[in-house]
Order: sequence, then structure tokens, then C-alpha cells
Amino acid sequence: MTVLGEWLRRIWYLLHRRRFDDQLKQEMAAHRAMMREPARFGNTLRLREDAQDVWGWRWLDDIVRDVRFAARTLKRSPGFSVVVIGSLALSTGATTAIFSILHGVLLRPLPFDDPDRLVYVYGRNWREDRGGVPDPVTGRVASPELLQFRDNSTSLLGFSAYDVTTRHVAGPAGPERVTAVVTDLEFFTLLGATPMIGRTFDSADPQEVAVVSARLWQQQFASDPSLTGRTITLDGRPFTVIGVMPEPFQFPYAAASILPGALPEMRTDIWLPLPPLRDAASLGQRRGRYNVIARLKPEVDLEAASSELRVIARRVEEQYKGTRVRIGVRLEKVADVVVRPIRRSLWMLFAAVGLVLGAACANVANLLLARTTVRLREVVTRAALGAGRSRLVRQFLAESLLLSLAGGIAGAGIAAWGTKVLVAAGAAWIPRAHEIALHWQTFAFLLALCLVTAVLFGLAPALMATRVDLMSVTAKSAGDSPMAGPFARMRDGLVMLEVALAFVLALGAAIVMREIVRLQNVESGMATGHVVSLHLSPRAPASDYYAIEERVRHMPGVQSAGFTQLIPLQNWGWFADFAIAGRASEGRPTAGLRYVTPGYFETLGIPVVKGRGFTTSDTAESPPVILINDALARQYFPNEDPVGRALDRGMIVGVVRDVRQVHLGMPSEPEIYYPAAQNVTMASDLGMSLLVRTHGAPEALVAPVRTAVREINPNLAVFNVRTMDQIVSDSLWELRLYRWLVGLFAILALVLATIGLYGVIAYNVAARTREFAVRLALGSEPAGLARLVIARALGMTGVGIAGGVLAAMALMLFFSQNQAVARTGVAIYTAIVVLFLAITAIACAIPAIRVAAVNPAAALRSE
Amino acid sequence: MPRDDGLPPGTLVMLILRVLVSEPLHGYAIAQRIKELSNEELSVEEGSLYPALQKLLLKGWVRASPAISETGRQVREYRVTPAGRKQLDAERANYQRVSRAIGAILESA
Repeated sequence: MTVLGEWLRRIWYLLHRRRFDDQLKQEMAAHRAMMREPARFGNTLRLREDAQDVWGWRWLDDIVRDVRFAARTLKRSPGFSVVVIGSLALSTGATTAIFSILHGVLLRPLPFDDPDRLVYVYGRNWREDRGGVPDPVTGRVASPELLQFRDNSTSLLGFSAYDVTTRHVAGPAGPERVTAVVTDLEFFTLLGATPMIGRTFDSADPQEVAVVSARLWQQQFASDPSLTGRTITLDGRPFTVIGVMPEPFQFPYAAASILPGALPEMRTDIWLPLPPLRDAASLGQRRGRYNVIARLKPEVDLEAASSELRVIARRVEEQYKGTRVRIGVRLEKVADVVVRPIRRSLWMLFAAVGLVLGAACANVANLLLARTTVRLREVVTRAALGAGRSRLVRQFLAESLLLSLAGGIAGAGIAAWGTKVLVAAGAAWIPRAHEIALHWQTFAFLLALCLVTAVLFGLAPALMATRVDLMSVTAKSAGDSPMAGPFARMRDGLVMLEVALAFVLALGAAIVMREIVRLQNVESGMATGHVVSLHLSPRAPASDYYAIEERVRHMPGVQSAGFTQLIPLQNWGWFADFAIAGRASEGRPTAGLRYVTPGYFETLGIPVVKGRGFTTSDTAESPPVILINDALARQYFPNEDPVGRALDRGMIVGVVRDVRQVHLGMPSEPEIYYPAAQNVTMASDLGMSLLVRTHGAPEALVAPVRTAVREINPNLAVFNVRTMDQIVSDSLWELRLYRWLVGLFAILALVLATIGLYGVIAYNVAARTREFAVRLALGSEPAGLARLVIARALGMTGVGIAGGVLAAMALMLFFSQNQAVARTGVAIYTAIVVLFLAITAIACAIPAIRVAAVNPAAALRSE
Repeated sequence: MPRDDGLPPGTLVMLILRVLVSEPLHGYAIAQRIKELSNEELSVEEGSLYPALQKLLLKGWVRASPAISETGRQVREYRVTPAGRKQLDAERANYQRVSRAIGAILESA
């Protein structure tokens, strides 16, 4: 209590300071006047200050004074201040933007109850008798073992199975496709997620209930807060809406990314109950495979829970003696799974932007050192007048703090803007992107960044300045010696550091750019120009697809049209095993599966290299036929004609050229094509994609195609219209994002390094003008002197490049498993070295010209 | 800078509180009073007096109110607060205890 009272009085004093100090002054004057020998009173000012110090605000006065002084000094050199604040704003802003992404995606806990105890359960369904090697346990869990886990596990609190699918919501503008998660009733309880309106599933709920997202709620019911009696029609069936989840709730993350032809944003809009799991009686079927999440009991670790589930799984295996099913089980934290695709990339970007920040700090330190050099006389004067060393250091730090805070304030704006742009650019691909926001932690990070950078670039010049020998400076003239000795070495060192950092970033950017160029030039196997794709769902009879193809093909401006269930280059494939008739099976080979209509190959420009393509006479009634791709033919029929051979999946009637199916960077895998008419039941519930090749701009045909589709089957929703070129370019989104970011970082670092180089060289030339004048007067060639300057600049760049190469090589060892990095050869290094030599030339052009133009008489007279 | 005024360290606050208990006084008068009461033995230097008064204000042991000195100048008159009285009692008791103990040691030698 007394401490609090004391502080209140301190603050009271601070608020009424002027009056207090006035009173003190007057009473001391009165005291002095009353003394018999007023002269003995001592130094009035000093005594008053001692008395005021008791209130404990001296530090504040000092700071205010330092900051005022710093602000005045900086205002006197606006050019310097703008360059420094600008480079700090850019670098801290960029760093903070990347940090806010990193923080929102990787560092913040998932928005569920005790998210660290949530785990994914992975399974496997490999059969020993089919041969081959067991796949890693990354698959879904079949219902028999799931039921056993649920009944027998003691280390997990609960299991929840779910499946991602789509539903079509009836609306005034026709059906709208939404991503739906079908899950058991424990799902929300297990996650610990609460609805914003209504409730989530209850064990007594019937099948026809739905929990919807806030977006769907707004769209369907105009955000009406009363839920009673609200129903929503999904694929013709009414569902009672029981609850609305708040907008940030999305689980599973990236749900839509595993659905072909899905909406570009990854979001789930509706959650529906899963029918009760099949009971143990249907063990033999092993149907019904689910994504499974579970919650660890407190005090149970991942390892203990995994081994318990493995024991249970082994008991289930024993019931399959005949088929020798090998069930695997593996647990992984949900938090790790969600961010796995992006974690490494984000840390890499953070490291890259850290390099930029480092370069900016080095640059600012460099500029400050240059200023310190110029201000040495001021420093010396103040030291001579009694400013202590710590006082001087504090003054310098106040200046750098002021600079970095000003940079930080501008940086906060850049960070807010950059975060928004990045989230918009990556929303469809970065998991948890919708959760990213500017949190207080982001600003705390920015503030910490400012303080650290201020100390980093401010302390060195401050300490340097105070170490200068007073006499040596005062004795000499202003333009002379200061650049020699520690200052010069330090500035050179900083410039070399900048060059090295810029080199590493430039190399990174070059690798990314070359990789994009390489992938863009990869033979995709398709002719993608003038092709547009439209996704149609839900599933329709095969005859509808054939009818639509026929109708669209005859529309004016259309060259050809065709369907597939999965457009190539979606970072996703659909693989299954096959067997060759009449050949002893050495394991089960696998191949990609595509279900297509006859026009598919012509539309995507995939030539049939052997045999024939599909025709409309390949119907459900005719014998099953398939096409294989060249890769399958090469691998399994190396010396024979595959046409006419039979697989267990049909008779091979032709061979088509290879297509990059999954990603431009991945070679073509063996692939089997089915005619949709014979196998459409195998195709997914998710509908098919229509591809249309046109003579002119493909976008113009979207509207007539929509009409044609509606006329043939009004239940079909047409959405996700994209040109094939767009799809190819989207498949490289990650590299594109890196190209922009790393490229931007590299340019920033290059500009900083150029400024640094120029600054040091120009200063050096200015400081040595007299020496050059003397040399000229003694008969040196101007060109020779210019060469001196250039040689010095090249020396610095050289050391910087050498450091950059070493650092880059060390980093490459770390990333050596990355293909693009592994391909980096001498050519790229050479190109970047040449770039840096060019920059050096630019940086020293003006100083060199100035040297060559020195007028010895004028220069010497000026001293 | 406080000069040597013959005061045992830490006793100035106690002495100021003691003279203020009798009547409110301004700075110069406090110094005079201490000098008088100690038979000119102790003199409080202004360099110690004013910081000590600030400390008393800060601690809440005295309150200051504007007043006019005998010479017609603006001064502050200090008066002891209840907290100051308590502090004085505590310090006085403590001082007496310590000085008795020191006395006992010195006598015994």
C-alpha cells in the first residue's frame, strides 16, 4: 500500500511538475536570502536538481532530452533520415508480414480445445497375398478396426470418423455445390468446437440434421438468428439446421483440396451426421474407410497410444487369416498434419526475409557510421565538455531508436498491407489462411524487431565514437583521418556482409526462377491453349455426359469436347493396382485411373500413338476396353505390342501419349483410361470435368455451354470454370509465390548492397581527395587513380561474393534433397557473380569519374 | 553536495520530523530549529535538507502548504502527517534502542 501511495505521489508530482519545481526554487531562494552568508549556500541549480532527483524522474527527463536532440539532429539531414527510415520500414514490414503468416499458421495453436492432444489416426489395407511392398501407413481406417479401437482403447478419449464429400444446396439460382463433411455425432465434442448459434450434434439426433457454416447461414437464411424449423435442401432431401459454426471454424483443414474439381478456396460449409458404422458382422467386406481423429487422454503420449492401437489392430488382423490383411496404424498430431505442406516453405521464407533485414541493418549501421565520422568533432566537443561515455552512447542509441521506431511505424503499415496481399494470394493453398490476422503478437514482434535492430545498428557506431582518442581528432583537420582505422574497416566489413547476404538471396531467387522456367518448358503432353474446363456435379448417368459432349462439340466455334473425372496437374492422382492377363504376377503393379469420354484425347491434344481411341460404340453393353499410356506400355510391354492384350481391367485397344498427370515436376506414371460409358459407376460422386477446345477465345463459350448442360440435365451444377492454361499455371502456384517473394527480397537486398557500396566508395574518394590531388600533381594518370577506386570496390565485392558463395554452399547442403537446389550448377553462380560485378561497376562509376576529374590545384587550395 | 554536518547517517529525517511535530515550519526555519535545539552542535546543510524534505513528501510523511516567510517571500510550510508521526515514533524507538546498545558497549570497555 505504501509503495502504491508513493507511486501515486510520484505521478502527481510528474503531472504538477512545473508548480512543484517553482515552489522549490522559491523556497530555496528564500532560504538563501535569510542566511547570514548567502554565498555559503552553494550551487543553487545543482542543489535543486539533487532535490528533484528524489522524485525519481531523472531517467525520463534524460530520455526526453535525448529524443528531442536526436529528432533535431535527424531533421537537419532529411535525406539520410528518409533513406534509413525507408529501408528499415521495408525490411521490418516485410519481416513482420512473413512473421504474421508464420505465426497464424505455424505458431498459434489450432482453435480447438487442448489442440495438442488431437491426433489423426492413419491406417492401411495392404494384403500380403497380393504381393508388392507394404505402403507407408498414410491411408484411411476401415470400420472393423475403428470399432475395435473405439471399444478397446484405454489411451484415447474418443474417436471420430469423417468423410469429405459434396452436397448441392438448392437455391433460387439453381443448385450450389458445397463441400460437406459427413461425420459421427462425437465430432464437434471431440474437437471442443462450439457453435455460434444453436447446437452441434447430439447422440439422439436423427440423420436429417445439419450444422452449417456462417457463410452458408448468411447466404441461405440472411443470418436470421432464430433457428427453429429452418430446413435446408441438400440434393433434394430436407435437413433440419440445428447449428451454425462461427466463420473461422474449418475442420478438416484443406478439406476441398482432396476433391477433384473442387472450389478454389478450401472451405467446408456443411457438416452432416454419418450413418452408424457397419457392425463387426461385415468384417469380410472391409468397406467403409474413414478419416479418423482422436483425442489423447491426459498423461498419455503419442508413442504409448500408437502401440496400444497396434496391438488392437493385430487382433483384428488375426480374423483375416485367409486374406492376410496387414492393417497398419499410425498416430500423428493434428497440428503437425495440418501445416505439414507449408511448414518448411514458411520457415524458408522467414529465413529469406531475415537476410533482407540483416542487409538493411548492415546498411543502416553503415550510414550511421558514415554520419558518426562526420560528426566526430561534435562528439569530441561534447566529450570535452564533460559528457560521460555512457551519456554519449545513450545519445547515439536514442537516435537509432528514434530511427528504428519511425521505420517500425511505417513498417507496421507495410506489414498490414503485405499480410493482406499474401493471404489473398495464398488463401487457396495455405492451410489456416483464413485464421491469419494481425494479432497483438505481431506488433509485439515488430516492436521487438525495432529494438533489436536499433541496438544492432546503433551500438556499433556509438561505441566506436566514444573510443576515439580525443586528442587525435581535435589535433587534426576535419576531412582527414577519421575514415582510417577502425571506422573504415568496420564499414568495409558491413558492405561485404551486405553483398554476401544479397548474393545468397539472389541465388535463391535465381534457383526459383530457373525452376519455373524449366517446368514451364516441360512437355506436359497436352495442348492447353484454347481449352476451357468446367466442372459438372453431382454424378449423372454416363449417357448425359455423352449427350453433352455431342451437343457442345457441334456448337459454333467449338473444335472438340470431352469429359474426365480428374483434370491433370491437380497435385493429386487416382491410383489403383492392375494385373496383366496371362502373366505371372510379380506383385501388383499400380497405375493412374482416368474415366473419360471419347472426345477427351482430341480436346487436350493427346495423340493416340497405337491402336484406336474410344468411340461412342464403346458402351456398357460392348466388351470392356481400356487405353493405356506410353509409360505403361514401355514399362510392362517393352518388346511387344500391347494392343489386343488384356488387363484385368479390360482389353487394351490403344496406346496414348504420356501426360504429366500430377505435377509438371513429376514424370508420367503408368496410366489406364476407361470409357466413361463402361465405368462411370467407378467414377466419383463428385461429378466430371468438361473440357472444351475452341477456335477463338474459350471464355466466350462458357454461357452457351451452361445452357446446353441445363437443357440436358437441369440438376447439374456448372462451376469452377478455368482455362487449361490457368490450370497449368496454377499448378505452379507455390513456385510463383516464392518467385515473387524471394525475388522481391533479393531486389531489396541488392539495392541495399548497392547503396552501401556506393556510400563507402564515394566517402572514401571524398576523404582521399587531397591525397589524389597530390598524386595527380606528382604526375599520376587520372585513369590510374580511377582504377585504384575501382580495384578497391572490386576487392570488397569479391570478399562479399566469396562469403556469399560459402554461405550458399552451406545452405545447399542443408537443402540438398530439394531437386531444384541439387540441380544448381556453376552457370547460375557465374550469372550472379556477373550481376554483382555489374552492380559494383554502377556503384563506383560516379566516384571513379569524380576522381579522374579532380583538379589538383583547386583541391589542394581548399584545405 | 552534502558537506559534513556532524549528523549521524540516517538521522536527518528523524530530526526533521521531530521539529515539525511541534509546529509547521519552512525549510530555513527547520535548519535553524535543529541548530538551536542541538545547542549549535548540529547544522543541517541545505544540500541535505532539501532532498530530505522531498523524500518526506514522497513518502507521505509531511505535507507542504504555501506560506509567506518572515522576510515576505513565497515558501512552503511543512507539517507532519499521521503517517509521519508513526514513522517518527518508529525511528525514535529504533534510535534509542540502538544508541542504548552502543552506549552499553562503550561503557563496558
